[in-house]
This record gives sequence, C-alpha cells and structure tokens, in this order.
Amino acid sequence: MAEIKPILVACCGNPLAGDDAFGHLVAMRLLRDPPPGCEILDLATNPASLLDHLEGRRVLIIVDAAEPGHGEAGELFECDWRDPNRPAFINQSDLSTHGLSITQQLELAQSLGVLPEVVRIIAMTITSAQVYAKSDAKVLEQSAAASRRVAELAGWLA
Amino acid sequence: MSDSNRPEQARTIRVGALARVEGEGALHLAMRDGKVDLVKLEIYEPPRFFEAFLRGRDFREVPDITARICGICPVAYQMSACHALEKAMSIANDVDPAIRTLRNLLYCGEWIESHVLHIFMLHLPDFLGYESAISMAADHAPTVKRALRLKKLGNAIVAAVAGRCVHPINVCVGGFYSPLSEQAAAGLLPETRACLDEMCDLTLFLAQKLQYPDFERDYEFVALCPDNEYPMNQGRIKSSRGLNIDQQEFGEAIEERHVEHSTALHAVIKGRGSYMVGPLSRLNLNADKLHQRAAELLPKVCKAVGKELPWRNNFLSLPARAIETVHSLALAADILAAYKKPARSFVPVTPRAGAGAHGTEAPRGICWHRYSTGPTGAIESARIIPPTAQNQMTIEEDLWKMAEQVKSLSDDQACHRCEHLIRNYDPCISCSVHFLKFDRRWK
Repeated sequence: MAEIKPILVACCGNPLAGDDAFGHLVAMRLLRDPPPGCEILDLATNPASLLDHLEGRRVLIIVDAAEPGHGEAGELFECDWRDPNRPAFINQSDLSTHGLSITQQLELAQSLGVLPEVVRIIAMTITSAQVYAKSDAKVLEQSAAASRRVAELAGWLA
Repeated sequence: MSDSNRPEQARTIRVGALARVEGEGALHLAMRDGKVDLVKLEIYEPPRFFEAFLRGRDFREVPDITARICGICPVAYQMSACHALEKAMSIANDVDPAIRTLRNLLYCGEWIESHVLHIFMLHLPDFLGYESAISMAADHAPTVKRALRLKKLGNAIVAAVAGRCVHPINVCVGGFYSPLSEQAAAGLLPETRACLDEMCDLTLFLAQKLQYPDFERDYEFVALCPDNEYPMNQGRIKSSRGLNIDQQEFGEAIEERHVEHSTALHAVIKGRGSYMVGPLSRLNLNADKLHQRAAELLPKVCKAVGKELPWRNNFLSLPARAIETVHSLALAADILAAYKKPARSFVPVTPRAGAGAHGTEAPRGICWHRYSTGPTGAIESARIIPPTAQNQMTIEEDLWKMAEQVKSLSDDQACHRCEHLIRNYDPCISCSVHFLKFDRRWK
C-alpha cells in the first residue's frame, strides 16, 4: 500500500516585507505546535520549491497574503483552488523571481497529474508589502486565527 | 495586438508587456519598401544602484549584497565578488585547493538548476510549439518530471554547500563560513549519479528530436579559458578572434555605451564590436576540457544537429546548455565521491587598501566585478558587468537579421520568432512567456 503523506501546509510570504510576513508568521506558529497529520512548509525564501513537495499528497493548504483590493484589509478569507469563482488574484503569475509562481506551480502540478485532491487557500488581505516595514498588528492577530483554522481544516480533511 | 502595417497601409502593433518580468522588452521594427529599416530593442534594465550603494560598505558584506542582484544566479555574483575582493586583499593565491573545489561544486549546482529551468521550462516550449511549459507538460509529463527532478538536485547542491539555494548565506571572502559535511556530500551522491544518467538521455533527446532553425552569424565568442578545466571560476579571458587577456584587463578591453533607446548599455570590444558570452561561447572555446561523460556525448550531439563545433547558430545554445548540464552533474559526482572536509573552510583576511577584478562564468556568461577598497576594507568603488548586459548588442544584431526573415509573417508569428531568438540568450527578461512589446511599422 502506498504511503499516505501528511497534509502539506505551505506558507508563503517574505518575513522582511511588512504584512507579506503573514504566511511566515503562520508557519512559525504551526511549527511550534503542528496539528496532527500535518507537515508545515515555510516557503519564505524559496516559494518556487512548492512543486517539489506535492507528489503523493492528498491535501494541500496554502497560506498567503492577498494584495489590497481583494476584500477588506485585515480580513481572512478562504477558497478552494479548483473553485471556478475563486478570487482573481489567485490567477496572478507575477509572484516569483526567476521561477514558477505559486499559481504556475499548481497549474503545472495539475498538468503533471500530481496536484493534490484538495487544495485549500487561506489568505489575509494586507495593506502593504513594503520591504523592511513592520507588520501591522492585525497581521499578528490574524496569523493566530489562521493557525487555528489550519488545525481545524486538518482535523476535517485528514 | 492590433494589425501590423503592410506596404500599402499604416498601422501599429503593440503587445502588452507582462508586469511579472524582471525587465521589459520592447521591440520596434520599421520596414521601408519591404526591407528592414530600423530595429530597436529596448530593455528596461534596473539601474545599477548596486555599484553605488556598495560604496562605503565593508568588503565582507559584498557577497551577500551582490547575491541579491539575481534570484537565479546568486552564486555567480558571490563568486565573482569573492575572487575580486580576494585579489584586492592579496589573498587570492592563498585560497586552498579544497576551497576552490567546493566553489566548483557550488557552481555545478547553480548551472544545473539554472540551465535545466531554462532548457525545459522556458525554451523547450518554443521548439515543441507550446504556449508554455504548463501546456507542454500535459503532453510531455515524463520529460517535465525528469527536469523538475534535476532542478531539485541543483537546488539541493547549492543549499548543501552554501546554506540556501536562493541568496546563499554561507559564502564569504576567503571561502565558506562552514564547510560541507562529508555526510551531506555522501547523501547527495546517489541522486547526482542518477540525474547524470537522466541528463545524458535527455541531452540526446534534445539533439535528436528538435528542429533547430537555420540562423548563423559570425559572432566573436568570449569566455574564460582555464588551462586544465572547463570554465567556471578561473581562467584567462579569451575570444574566437584572438582576445587573450588577464581578468584584470577585461574592464579596459571592453567599452560600455549608452544608447538612446535603451537603459541597457551596449558592450563592445574596443576597436571591434559586439561579442557573445554564454554557453555557446564556452563550449566553442573549451570543448576539449569537458568532463569525459559530456565529451563522450558531444560527437553524438553534433551528428544529431548536423553541425560540428564551432557552432555559430545560437539556437544551438539549447544543446550547449544540455551538454554543460551533463558536465556539471559529472563533475559534481566526482567531487562528492572524493569529498573530504577541508582543514579550513576559509582563508583569514586582513582588511587593506587594494583593488581587484575577476569574472566567473554565470550560467548566462561572464559576470565580471571590480572593486577598490580603503585601508579598513571599505568599498571605495565597484563595477559590475552582468552577462545579459554584454549580450544586448548582439541580441539586437540578431534581431536585425531575424526581422528580415520574418517580414512576411503575421505580427503574432513574427513576435513569437523574435521572442524565441531572444530566449536563446536566456536573459533575465525571458522569465515570462510573452514579455515583448512588439511594434512593427511599414513605410
């Protein structure tokens, strides 16, 4: 019987870029107290490596910041990657340097037949991703809420 | 994209550039009486603030700062910086052979991940007629999966030697803060050997199954040419037209010119003209120094593409990169198999006033740095010449010829052919599929 790999929780975000640190902060919380059955991946410095971790996974949870203009600033939202009505920002492909963006990696994974059965996105709408800026206090607050939501999802999806 | 001008009509073509590229490319063609009258390639190169804000920094900070110039080839910037500063600090001759070997291993990792990304994700779709690697993957999943495995290994080698695959953190002037452990080296070896066999197979596939457009020009090829090894970190700078200079002299041998239509400088060899750096140049000038595994493949590749070296068709840069990837995997396997932790991982450095210049072979070609330092080791001046900047004029000259060849094609087709040509050079601007603003006017 093929080994069942843990749920992959992939957290994206630059810890040095203001509110973009949201995903990284969630990763730090989850790494201190990982939900059962989860593997936590902090993609802070290498988002283009997500594809390396997908094969054999049934469930992927992505945690990331969303640009201003997608919902109220400071609010969390959640969607399924396969939802045809998913927010437009998820379709952006200009998110990485010299590598495949998160969206491109998911699309490539789909083409290769390795996209997990369940791909859930948890995002927080931020106001600024300015480099060397401090994160807004709301980011810290919502990173705790997002961590709790990841644990909740992991319990349902395991 | 709007319709193009034809001899009888006047119209303008614009292709919207994508924002996700590091640089934007805009190509303007003017046709007069059915002939190419003007070609302008505008590259919006980021301003060289690096050369300015390095001034006053401690020399020890330079490798970490210059690594940020590029996300796909940070190793090249770090290696060139270290070598140049070691000359400035007068310790260049003191660097242990074991440290040099580790530097070569690190470069192998970078060449593997950079070349594989470009060959299979950015360039191969052009040859197979796909919009992108994503659409290509649906029909060529096994090939793409093998490529991803190779790229993962390249990243793993860089991370193991230099601490991180993006903007490495273990590189310092004099060597490395911490040496690769023997256990880590042993752990990488099996996958390296397996990937070597895969890449040999893939190289033959690329040579035998792809159609390479006929496009030859008489380039001046420029590359490092060490005596006893394929160029990565060391060597005099030589060319196919007799250039043979020490590293220190390169900055004086070339001239960088501002051109009105582009923020990218055009580099020329003084008294001559444009030149090419990159895999084709390296291979043409150093094929006799390839690792045996790559050297054994080369005749089969030449037979398959129908051309013996020297190759003057830059569409053959794809098989050239593939051969270099085989070389890198084979060299990495040798280094890992014989690896013993060095007695010291870096040479101590005493800050001093000095100056030094050095170029190493980034995946895209010679990346050359020059620094001068004050008595405390603070940077007083910096000059950085990236490979993509050196190729700008050559790319434009290629496009002159290509513009003539594609004049009867539709604007969509012509734009695609021009983008494909530019991707031969693997410039940073080709990270996206459609980066080109295409503007062709007929008079």
